[in-house]
Order: sequence, then C-alpha cells, then structure tokens
Amino acid sequence: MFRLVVQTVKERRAGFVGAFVALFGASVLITAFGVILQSGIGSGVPVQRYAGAPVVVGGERSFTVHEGKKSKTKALTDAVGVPADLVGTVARTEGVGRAVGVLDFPAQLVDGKGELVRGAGDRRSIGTNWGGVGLGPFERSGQEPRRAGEVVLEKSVADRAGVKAGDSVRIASTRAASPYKVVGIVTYTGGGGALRTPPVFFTDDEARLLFGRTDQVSAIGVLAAKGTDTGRLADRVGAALKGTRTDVRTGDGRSSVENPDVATARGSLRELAGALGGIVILITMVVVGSTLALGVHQRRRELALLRVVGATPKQIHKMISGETLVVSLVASVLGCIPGAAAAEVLRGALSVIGVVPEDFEFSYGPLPMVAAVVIGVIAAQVAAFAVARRVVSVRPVEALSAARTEQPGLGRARVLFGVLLFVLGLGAALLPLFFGSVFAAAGAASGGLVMVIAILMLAPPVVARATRLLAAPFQWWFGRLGRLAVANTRANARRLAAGIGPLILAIGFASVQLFIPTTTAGAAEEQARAGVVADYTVTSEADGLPVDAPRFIEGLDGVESATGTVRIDLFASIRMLDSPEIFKYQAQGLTPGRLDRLVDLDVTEGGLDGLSADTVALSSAAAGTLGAGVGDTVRLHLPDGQTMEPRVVAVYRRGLGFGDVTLSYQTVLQHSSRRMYDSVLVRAEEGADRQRVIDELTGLNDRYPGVLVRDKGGLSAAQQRTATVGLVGNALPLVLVFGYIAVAVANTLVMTTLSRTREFALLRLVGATPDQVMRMMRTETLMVILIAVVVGSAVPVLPLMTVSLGLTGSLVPHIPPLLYLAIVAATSALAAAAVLVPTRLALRARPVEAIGLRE
Amino acid sequence: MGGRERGMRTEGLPDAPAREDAAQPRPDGVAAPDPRWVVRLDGVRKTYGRGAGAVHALRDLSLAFARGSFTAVMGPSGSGKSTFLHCAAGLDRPDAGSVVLGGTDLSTLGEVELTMMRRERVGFVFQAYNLMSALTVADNITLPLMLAGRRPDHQWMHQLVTRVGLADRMNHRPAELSGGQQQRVAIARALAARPEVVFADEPTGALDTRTAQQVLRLLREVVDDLGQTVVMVTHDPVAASYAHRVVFLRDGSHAEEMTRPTPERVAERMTGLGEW
Repeated sequence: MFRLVVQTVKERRAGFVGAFVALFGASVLITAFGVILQSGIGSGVPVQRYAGAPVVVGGERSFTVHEGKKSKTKALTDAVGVPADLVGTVARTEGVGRAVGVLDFPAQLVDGKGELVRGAGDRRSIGTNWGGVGLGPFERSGQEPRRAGEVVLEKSVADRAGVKAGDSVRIASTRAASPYKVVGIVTYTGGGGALRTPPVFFTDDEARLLFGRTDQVSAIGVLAAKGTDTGRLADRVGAALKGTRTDVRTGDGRSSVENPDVATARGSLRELAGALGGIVILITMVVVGSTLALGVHQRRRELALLRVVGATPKQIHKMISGETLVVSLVASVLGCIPGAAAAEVLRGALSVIGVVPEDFEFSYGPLPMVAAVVIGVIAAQVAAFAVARRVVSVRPVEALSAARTEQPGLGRARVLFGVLLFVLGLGAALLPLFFGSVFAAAGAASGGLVMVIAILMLAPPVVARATRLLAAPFQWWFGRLGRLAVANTRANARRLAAGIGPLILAIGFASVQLFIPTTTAGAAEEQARAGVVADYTVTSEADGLPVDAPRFIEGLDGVESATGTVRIDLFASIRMLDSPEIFKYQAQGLTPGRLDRLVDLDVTEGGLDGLSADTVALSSAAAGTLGAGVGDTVRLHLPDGQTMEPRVVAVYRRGLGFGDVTLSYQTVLQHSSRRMYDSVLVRAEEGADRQRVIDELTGLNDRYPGVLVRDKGGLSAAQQRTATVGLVGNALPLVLVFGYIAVAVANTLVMTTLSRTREFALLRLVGATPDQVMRMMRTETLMVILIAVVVGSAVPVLPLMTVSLGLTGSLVPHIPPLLYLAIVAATSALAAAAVLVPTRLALRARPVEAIGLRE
Repeated sequence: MGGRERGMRTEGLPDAPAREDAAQPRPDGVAAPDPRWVVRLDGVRKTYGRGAGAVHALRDLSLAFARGSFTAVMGPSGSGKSTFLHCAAGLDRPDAGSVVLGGTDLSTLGEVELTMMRRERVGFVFQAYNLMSALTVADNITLPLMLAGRRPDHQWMHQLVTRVGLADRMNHRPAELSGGQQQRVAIARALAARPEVVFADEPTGALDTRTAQQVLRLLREVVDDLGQTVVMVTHDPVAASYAHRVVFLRDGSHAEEMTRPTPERVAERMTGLGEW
C-alpha cells in the first residue's frame, strides 16, 4: 500500500504541488510564530554590566491575584525594583562575598551645543552608582568618584563626547542638567558586542539622590565568597529572600534584570504570539483543508476508477491519508528553515519600529520547528480524513459518472457546521450592543473572524447565488464571451468557490485585523485632539522631564499653569464566576492641580478635583468592564506589582485618548520605576505674548537638554506618531499571515486554472482564438474578484460596527479609504495574475496536444 | 506560432528533394480554386524530431477530397492517420507541401487566421465527445457560431437538431446524455456553422456497436442528404464501410484506395497492409 502511495505522489507530482505549497507555507508561518513565542520566553540579549555577578536579584515581574481557591498570575510590563533593606539580608547570607544594591536611572551627557550624547551604536547611557562597578568586567583607569560632583564614564560614551579624565561635562539626569568632573574612565572588557547601556558612574550618595528614593534599589548584584558555586549561592539567596517580591537569577536570566526594556520586549512578543497564534493555526488549517479538498476533487475520476476496480473505502482512506502524510511531512520539514528566516525578517522590522530593542536576538531552538511539523501533519491528516470521507460516501459507479460534472450539493455536515459557525460569529458580533465591557468588543472582533471563516465553508452555495445574481448584467455587458464565462462560473460553482474562498478570507481577515486598530487609533486621536485644552506640550528627547519641571515651568513668564503627565501600563482585577479576571489598562499619572485648564477628559460623573494618592478616575469603558461607579473602590495592580484599592472619584469619556485609568502622579512615582514625566502640558496666561512663551519654553533646553515644544495641535501629532507605531507594530506580524493567505489565493487559483487546460484546448478547436479564451477568462476573473470583494467586505461590516461601538461609543468604524483600497487592489491584482498567467501558459500548448491530456 | 517556425526551418534543409508539382507555377502560393475538391493535399511531408530519432509521419502525401463525399482514411497505427487529419484541418502545419482547403492555401495563413478559417469552414468530431460540460446541448451546438460572432440560423438549427434526434434534449447538460447522444451533439456542433468539410477522428471509438451504427448512419446522411463533405479517420472496417471511398495510408504515404467498401473487403485489405 505504502509503495503505491509513494509511487502516486512521485508520478503525479504536479497534482500535489498545491497541497505542498499550502503545507509548506503553513510550516513557514507556524515556525515563524513559534520562534516569536520562544523568543518571548528566552533571553534576547547577553548579560553585560552584571556579567561579573554570578547571582542577580531583581524585583518580581509578575503578580498574582487570588480569588477563593483560584488564582491568576500576570506578567508586569515595566522594570520592578527591590526593597533596599534586602541588600543587607542578602549580604548576611552564607556564601555571599558581597551584595551590591544597584541604582539605575537615566543620565546622558550633554555636548557644548546642548545636544545629548549617545554611546557606541547610538546606545543611551545609564546613570548608576559606583558600587556597581564591581559587578561587571570593567578595566578602570583614573580615579573613582569621591565627591558629589565627580563621575566616571564608560569609554564608549567618553569617546563619543570627546572627553577624557580631568575634563568637565554637563549631565542631564533626573534633575536639571548640571556640571560634573570626569575623574576616571572604565572600559568594558566583556562580551556581547558594544555595551547596551554604557554606564555613567556617580558616587553612591549622588546616585541615591538622582535615583529619587531611598527605600528601593534597581537590583542586587551578588558576588560569591570563595569556594561557593553559583547554583548553591542562588539557592541560599533564594531561601533568604523567601516571601519577598523578588526573583533570583543566574546565567542568561540576569540579562532581564540588567535590561528591563528587553524583558518588556519579551512580554510584547509573548502577547503578540498569544494574540495571533490561535488565528495562525486556524487559518493554516482552513487553507490546508480547502487545498487538499480541491486537489482530491481534481482527481475524483481516478479515485472513482480505483473504487470501481475494487478499492474498499478503507483503502481509499488509507491511500489519501498516506499520500497526505508523505506530502505534509516533506513540506513541513522543508518549511522550517524559511520559517526561521521569516522570523528573522520580522525581528528586523519590529526593531525598526521599536517594539523590540535593535540588538534583541531571537532564539532559534528546534521546538518551534517540531511544533510546525507536528501541527502541519495533524492538520493535513484531519483534512485528509474529511476529504476521503466525502470521496467514499458516493457509490463507485455514481462516482464515475458524477466525476465528469460538478456535484452541486455540499456535504450536509459542512453546511450545518458552516451555518452554526456563522450564527455563533454573528451572536458574538452583536455582544457590544448589550454589554459595555471590553470582553464584548473582543468577542465581537473574534466573531468577525469566525463569520469570515464560516462564509469560507459555505462558499459554494454563496458563490452559486452570487453568480446567479451577476449572470444577467455580465451577459448584457460582456456579450457572448460574457455568456460563456457566466455559464462556466454557474456550472462550476464548486471550483469557483475554491478560488473565491481564500480571496474572501484575505479581504475579510485584513478588514477585521486592520480596521479595528485604525478605529481605536482614530478615536484616540480624535479624543486627544478634543481633550487637550493646554496651549503647549513640552516633551524631551531624553528619558523624560525631571519632576521639578512642572513647577519650574509654571514660574516662567506668561505661563498660567502646567502639569506633568506620565503614561504607564497597569492592571485591574475583578471577581468573575468565582475566579479572578485581570485586565490590562493604559494609565496616566497627572500632577493634581488646575487640571481643568489643561485637559478635558469629558468627565460624565464626579470630578478630577478629588484626584489624590488614594483615589482614581476611570474611563467609562473601564468603569463598565470593572462594574464600578463614582464612590466605589476598584482593585488595581500597579507596575511594581503592589495592589491598591482606590476610590473612584470620576468617570470620563476620553479613555482611548488619555488612558483608561487616571492616577495622581504621586501614586505612579511610588509604584513604578518611572522617575520622570513623559510630557508637561502648559497653559499660557490670558493675553500673554505667545512668541515669548514659546521662546521661554524652548529656552528650557539649557536646564533640561533635549526639550521639544509643540503647540496644542503638535500634541496630537506626537500622539498620532506613537499610535501609528503601535498600529504598524500590530500589523507587521500580520504581514506574515497576509503573505500566507496570498500564497493560498494564488495557489488555488493557479490550481483551478491549470486544470482547465483541456477546456481551453476544446474551445480553441471549435474556433475560439487564444484572444477570445483570454477574454473569457478575464470576464470570469472579474466576476470572481467582484464576488470576493463584495462578500469579503460585507461580512466584517457588522462586527466592525459593533466593535467600534464597544471601543469608541460610535457605530461608525474608522476605515482609512486608502488602506481599504490597497487591500482590495492587492487582492484583485493577485487574483488576476494567478488566473491570467496560467491561462496564457495553458494557451501556449497546441490545442490538439492539450486536448489529449487526461481529464 | 511554433508550427510556422518549424515549417520554415525544415524547408531550409538542404536535403529536401524536389517535388513533382513544385515545378508547377502557383501564383503567390495561392492555388487556383478548383470547385471539385474541397480539401487537397499536395506532397505533404511532416517529420517529428530530428536526426536519427526523426519520425517521418507523412512522406509526400497527396490526397484530394471531393465536395459532397464521405471518405474514410484508414491505416495501421503509426501510418500517419492523425498527423494527416491535423495537417488537413489546419491544426498542424506540414513541413513541406501544401494543403488547400476551400480554395485557400493554409500555409499562407497566420495562427489567428487559421483559427478563423477553422471556425468558418471546418467542423470537428472527436473520439471523446469533448463537449463543454458547463454549457447546455443547445449552447454546445451553437458554440462555434457564438465564438465567430454569428447568429444561429434558426431554420438550420431546427433541421439539424431534428436530424440528430436531440430536439427534446436541448436544455440538458452533456453529463445527462448517453455516449451516443453526446456524439450526436458533437456532430451537430460540427455542422452548425455549415462548414465546407467535417473531420471526424475515430468518432465511434468510444461507442458500442449499435450506437456506433446510428452515429455512422447519421454521418452518411449528412453527406447524402445535405451535401456535406466528411473525412473520417478510423481503424474500424465496419465504420469505414459507411464511406463512399476508403483511403489506406502506410508509412505516411498513400498506399491504395477502394470505392464502395464493405467491411469484409476493408478488413482483407488492412490485413494485406500488414497490421492493424
């Protein structure tokens, strides 16, 4: 039996190309997403500054919510500090030679022109305490800093700034820029290329001052006493720190303590792989299934013949499953390497837009590849079983006579399943009409995808109906060749549906996946534009604006009021069906004061005046999801993993533009690693000289190097840029999925077109010129595209509307016309090429030869 | 396009022998219309492949088919029957010699003109019925007319479908018909454009004896009653016996011919030709 199978696959290689392409692409896609997921778990960048410390203690970057017997753990997105008193605890642990509390904070050199200096490879330097120098492989020259005004620079930064020991430099840190004397230079001698974060060493006291708080350190570096091995040391430190919110790390794991941005990137990668992983597998299964079905459909005559000469249904099952196994194994294995390459390309793209640091490395272990092969083979086997079942469900003789024509009916199971899926998707899409929570919007979005896939399953009857509708206009418009095209499409609805299906998937999937983020971004932009009533926004090219900035700016001539804002991610949890449910939110921290003069969050209940260290304001969306109103308390989980239960003092509408949670800046400062403001909103005095105010603000560069001043509109422009980056970041990984769908589109269309070589030959023998055949095919293709565009665009409309309602409160989704046109144009061009190029090729064969081909 | 190139290349070969009729003056390659012959092949040669592996499918074949005649072309396999049919119908180009169909020298026509010529003047009937499964019987019959942009002549269509006995099947799909019925549709399609000649390639090859007889009788009727010209390639002596004349090919050239054939005489002659 197996010999026969291998023989068939070898002999009829062409017949399996379609299935091969679909499975190969699936393997590429799954491998790529597997690599992303794995990289979200792996290390990403090497340890550098802490390479000399075998054990590093960092804050625990996750938190757990308990609710009754059940609990849920979520990863935090930002750096988490370590309580300062634990340095002593670690130092007293047996086997520890020395424990160093490291303080990391933003610090950049300023050159003579007031511009910020970067390290080698454009890296940002970091301020840290001299005590930490012993943790890394640094070669020292010169002296160590002893007084508050002395610093030691890492060589790459010193070289960039062109300073040497003994020179004086200005350094912008968490306070106004001030002069320091360089007393020494250290050179990094470890591996991993140039230092990611070249350090600027301050005295321990000065560092503590700049770090901004005394109760915390960024991390604890642990040096072993002589004769203690790393594993032992880690175990002992772990035991000593039991019950504290810390993580004891060794080896590559230390890197995520040293580089909180890498840990954040890993979190985004995990999130990305999680969000798209399910969709990727679903789509590959649908594509593999429909391609296999098409391939077997094209061989139905041969299979019918086999049954007539005595193959039992079981043998047919075995044969199809065997062939599929051979093809899927070969295709999946071959797809692994290009899959890794695709992941690498994606890594490059993601680093360009800043989702991952540019030196972040993906980990290419074998696991994603094994997963790709296993998933590919299983998906193919499931599809093969379904296809074979359909083949054997017809009696052999019937099969032979039916083989020549189309069977118009679909399997009852498929219709039932398709209708069920559609109804389910529709139900999910309607959720936002009844529930205000973010669940409903997410459900509606998945509902949209489910509806698209359901239409894919029901494609034959849908396409048949559509062709009937289009028949009259096409015949009228395209004359006799139109009639021929219409006859072909109507008689071969199944073949046509196989080609249209992936097209509908392409357009529908792209619409759902792209127009939801554009809707959110559009609404956010709109809200930000409407909500900022300040005249100017001050931001910085450095890591932010120091905490004294708002007060200092308020003191400037012509400035009426100013407030600092900072954006963070935080979480809220509620109890749902006896188990905890956690939601991630964007939050903003504001300095309480005359906020009404600066921002208008469109408060519907309560007021922002009540904002303090133990109160919070929520967007209506968050309030809806959390089931809280003014006066209620909500449970928040802050960036450092601490839980607080603040009272709600206001509910506002503009959550998309400003974040769903608004806290006082004090709360943010205390519970995050943030030491600086992202921006300061400024309102000028009534009747003040605008130009003078702008001059005053740009003059801040001396004190806060790197400041940028934008007028009110400039803020939304800046936010728009961030939003665009977010949008592109969301869409980039989708490019892989789109690519796969495009391959599926081309694949099925080429398959169906090439199978018509005989038909083209016949037409030519009875008198059609090659030109007429081309014209007929153009007409058919137009019909295919028309149906696909209409159906593919129409199905997501309802879910997009309801998602928009759930997210923005408006039923009208924000659909950029150019983006929509680009989707339609790209899909149409692809479809046209996939039909017309093979047609042209098929027409090159002499008709008398072509007609002798097997059916 | 390939055919023309191949033809020119071979004509240029130095070893091409002079043909008898090559000396006859022909004004610009256009033969003088001869009303008696619908199709006329003169010294047609066709070779596939080159060098030692070359197959000489036709060697200096000269044949003519009179208007209103029913001719069967027979021969053992490999005798060049199919190549003859393709050359005579303008589906393939000979390497040398001329094919004149209805007064036009086919070698003067380009590919598109050849297609136009075929759909105006030639009808085909194949062994496998080769109908468009997507079209109804009626649409299949009028397909050549439609492609040529001509309106079907209703009276003629009515006459045609009545004669082939399919008047009540016009709205069926080919798949709903028996093999014999499908072949009758193919014959009606071949006749729809009132071609000068109908070429049939083993038209009864896929049919049982009784159905085959009906189809052959139909072919003979269209010749006798409608004055159609039919050239049929076959290896079946019974099928050949329905023709006015049987032409035997051997090794790509005209071996002999027979008028008023009977199955027995044809079979005997075929045996004489060595193989079948």
